[in-house]
Amino acid sequence: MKEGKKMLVDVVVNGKRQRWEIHPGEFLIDTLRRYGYKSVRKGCDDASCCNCTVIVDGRAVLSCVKLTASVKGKNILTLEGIKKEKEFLLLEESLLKKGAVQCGYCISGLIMTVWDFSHRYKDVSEKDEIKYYTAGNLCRCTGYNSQIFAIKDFIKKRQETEKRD
Amino acid sequence: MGSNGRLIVLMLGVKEYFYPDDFKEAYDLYIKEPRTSLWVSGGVAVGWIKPKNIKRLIDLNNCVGSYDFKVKDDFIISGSCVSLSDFIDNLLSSSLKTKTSTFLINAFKEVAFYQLRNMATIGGSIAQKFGWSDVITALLVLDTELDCIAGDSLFCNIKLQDFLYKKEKLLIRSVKIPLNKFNRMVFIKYPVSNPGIALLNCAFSCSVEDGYIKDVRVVFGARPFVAKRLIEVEKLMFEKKIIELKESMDLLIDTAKKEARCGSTLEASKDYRNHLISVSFKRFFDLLLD
Repeated sequence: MKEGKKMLVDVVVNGKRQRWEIHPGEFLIDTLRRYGYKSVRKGCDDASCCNCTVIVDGRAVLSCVKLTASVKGKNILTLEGIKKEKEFLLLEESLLKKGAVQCGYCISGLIMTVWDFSHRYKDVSEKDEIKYYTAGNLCRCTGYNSQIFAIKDFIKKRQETEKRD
Repeated sequence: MGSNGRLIVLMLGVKEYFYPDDFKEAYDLYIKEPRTSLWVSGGVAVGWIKPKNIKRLIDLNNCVGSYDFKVKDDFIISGSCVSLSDFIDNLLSSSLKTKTSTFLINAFKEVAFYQLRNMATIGGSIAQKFGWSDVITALLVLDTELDCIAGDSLFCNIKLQDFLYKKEKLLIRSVKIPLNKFNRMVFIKYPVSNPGIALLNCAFSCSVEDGYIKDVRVVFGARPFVAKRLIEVEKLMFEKKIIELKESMDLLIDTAKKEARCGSTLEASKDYRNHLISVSFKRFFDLLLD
C-alpha cells in the first residue's frame, strides 16, 4: 500500500482512538507533542537520554527515534494516560518521599519505563535489577540513588497492596 | 513541528512510507529505487542516523513471518522483526535451557539499554552491518545462517559471515541459530560506560572433548569495524589441549592482534583495543578452565 506525501494513521492513544495526519518521515515525539501530549519530553533527540519514553503495544520505546508511521494501528500510552491510576499515585508518592525528583524533566520518561518493566516483570524488586531496566534514563540532578530507592519503595508498596486486595 | 532543525530535514526528505504484506513485496519495492529506499524494522537506525537521501521507507513489520519465533531441529529460528527484548523473553519463557540460549540471553542483555532493546530487532541489528554491533559478534560466533531474499527476488540461505562482506543488498527474512554446535561460549564486551557502545567486543565458542578443542570460533567486533572471525587464530587453537594453549597464549594474542587489525576512534586508540584483545584471551581461558 502506498501512502501520499501526507498520510493518515489510526492509533489508540491512552485508550482513545485517534486519526493523525502526519508526514511519512515524522517522529512519534513530535506528533504526540503536536496533538497535545506534552508529558513526552524532548531531550537528546538521538536515543541517548530516554526522556521521551512512551509505551507502544506494551513496550517502552523511545519516541524520538520511532517513526510515527510505524505505530499505525498500535496502542500508545503516555503519562497522561496513567496519571489517574491508583498505582501511579503510589509511584508518585514514592518519588516525592525519596527525593527522586528535582528539576523533573526526566521524570515522565522514567515513570513510563518503570510502568512498563514493573508490569511486565513482576518479580523485579532488587536494586541491581531496577538499575538494569532504568540504565538508559539519564538524570542530571538526582544522582540516581534516590530514584532507585523510590522505585524499590513503589514496587514493595504495590506488592503489599496486591496482597491486601 | 519539532523544535530542532534535523526533523525538518527528514520531513522534507521522506516522501513515501510503505506497508508491504510480505518480504517479497518489500524487496520488489526496494529494488525499484534502491538508492533512496530503506527497509525499516525497529526503526532505531533510521531514527538515529536520520539519513537525508532517503525518500522511501519500507516497513517490514506487517510482513508474514516477521515476528515468528520457534525452536526446531536444534535451531532457533527467529523472524527478522523480533525485538531483542522479545528474543530474550522468548528464550526465557521457552523450555530451552541450553548453553547457547544462556549465551544469547547474556550477550543480548548487554546491548544498549532496555528501551533500545525493545525497539532494536534482530534482523535490523544485522542488516546495517554496524561496526559496534554486539548482536553481530554474538551471532557470528555461533555460525548463524540467514534466510534472505536476493536479486530477482530469489530466496536464499547465507551464512552470516558471508552476508557481512557481501555487497549485494539482501533482505533478511529470518535468522537461524544452531543450538548444539558448541559446548563452550563466552561473550565479552568493553563499553566506555554502562550502558554504552563497545570499544571492543569479542566472542569465543568451541567444542571441548577430553580436554581438546575440536571446533572453535573467535570473533572480534567493534574494532571499530564490523565483527570478523579470526581464522588464523582458530587454526592455531584447533585440536589443541586447553592447558597447552594457555601456555602458548602469547602466540595466540600476537596472531589475533595482526588478524583483527584494530583502528583508532575518539573513544579508544588502536593500541588500547589491541591491549583489550590480550585481556580477552586471558579472560576466555580463565572462563574455559573454570
